[in-house]
Amino acid sequence: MKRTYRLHESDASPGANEALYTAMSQKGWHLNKRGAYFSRFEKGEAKNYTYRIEYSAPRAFEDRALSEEQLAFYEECGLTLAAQHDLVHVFRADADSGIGEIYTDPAQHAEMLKAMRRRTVVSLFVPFLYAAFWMLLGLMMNRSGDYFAELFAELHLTFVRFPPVLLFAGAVFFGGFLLLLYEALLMTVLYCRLKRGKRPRRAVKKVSGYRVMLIVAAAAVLISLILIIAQYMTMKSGDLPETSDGMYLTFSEIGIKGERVQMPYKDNASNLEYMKTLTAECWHSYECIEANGEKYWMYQYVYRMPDEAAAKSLVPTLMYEGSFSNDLDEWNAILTEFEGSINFR
Amino acid sequence: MQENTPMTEAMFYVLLALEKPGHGYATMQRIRELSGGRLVMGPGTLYGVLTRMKKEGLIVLESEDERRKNYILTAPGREALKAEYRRLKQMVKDGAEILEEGER
Repeated sequence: MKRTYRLHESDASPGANEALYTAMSQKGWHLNKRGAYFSRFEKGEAKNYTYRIEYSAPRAFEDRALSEEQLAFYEECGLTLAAQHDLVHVFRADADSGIGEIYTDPAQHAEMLKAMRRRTVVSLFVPFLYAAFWMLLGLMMNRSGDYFAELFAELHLTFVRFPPVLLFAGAVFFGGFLLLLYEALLMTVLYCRLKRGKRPRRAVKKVSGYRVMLIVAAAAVLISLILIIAQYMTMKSGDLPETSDGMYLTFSEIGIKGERVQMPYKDNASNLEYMKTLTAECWHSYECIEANGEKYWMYQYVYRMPDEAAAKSLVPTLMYEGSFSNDLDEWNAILTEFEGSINFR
Repeated sequence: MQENTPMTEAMFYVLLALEKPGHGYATMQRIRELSGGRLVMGPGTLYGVLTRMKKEGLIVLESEDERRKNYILTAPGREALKAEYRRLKQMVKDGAEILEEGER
């Protein structure tokens, strides 16, 4: 059986979806399954069907499907259930059966939107509650008392190290939130229209704001996933060379004078990771040597930024994130030279 | 439902139709006959009215046949129907006194 899929309109645009399904049936594609964003059609004979969308309005924890009694009643009236997803039930009838509206009174139809509106409002609040919970947890666990400065520093470093991850998170959370907001607006417009005694507009939308937003968000998610994979493909890791071959330093260049840090000693295997991101080149080295009968280890993150301004903007974040010596005597000032630039460490 | 609370036209005809037991679709057809084709109720509207009346105790399940349920008026339902009929009759009488006198 041949099948095809279409991105349907928002659940808050029942008229546009009814018109879409009617138009598809006239071309021989009949609705047989409906998901959150896509509707599936099976190929058959071209037919003139009338589609009508009914919303269930269950209370909390009640079954979202319509009752068997209601389905049987609708079937007797000539309406067959074509597909159902969540609160949305799509019925079809032969166009010449004379089937009219499911609700003679549009105001009564508006009352059936209760559960849909409740779901939309709750969905809008969930991201805020989620963010508030983690922020509260972070604030409670933050000992230094500068939670927001830490958060900004983490975001800045993520932007330098993994910019596609920020794009992905933005597309999913921000894009998802905007879609919910738009759907809530459409739902309110539909509710007010029905309350005024007007029917939903039944017309196939060639270009709709909802579908454009959905496609843009999906494209952003896909692009960010591709960029994440591409970035990981630039990653090289291996043993740390005896002499530096990149923008990082080794014990042989800086000496072993220093202070024990809180980050643990791993093992004797010194290693180096290199990655090229959209915003920087990154070296991450771990070096461990044995000298004077003791072990010395060093973790190092080095970023080569595209220009001086980008490098200067990163300095406060690195100062915040870095480990500094508590003992002035252990402080080790190093003058290094890389490709004509002079850096102080 | 209180005696002095007016009913909607849909509710009146549903109670009228369920003087004899009937299931949803049969009730819809009977309402169309009783109103002379004037009142055509959508299935969702009728289902909503039946659900509300069940909750208010005006109708009750009389019998069941697979997925089809037959309803009939209860005693309070019959009382509510008669009260509404009396109210409508009074309204017609009050109107007739004024309007028919005006026509003379």
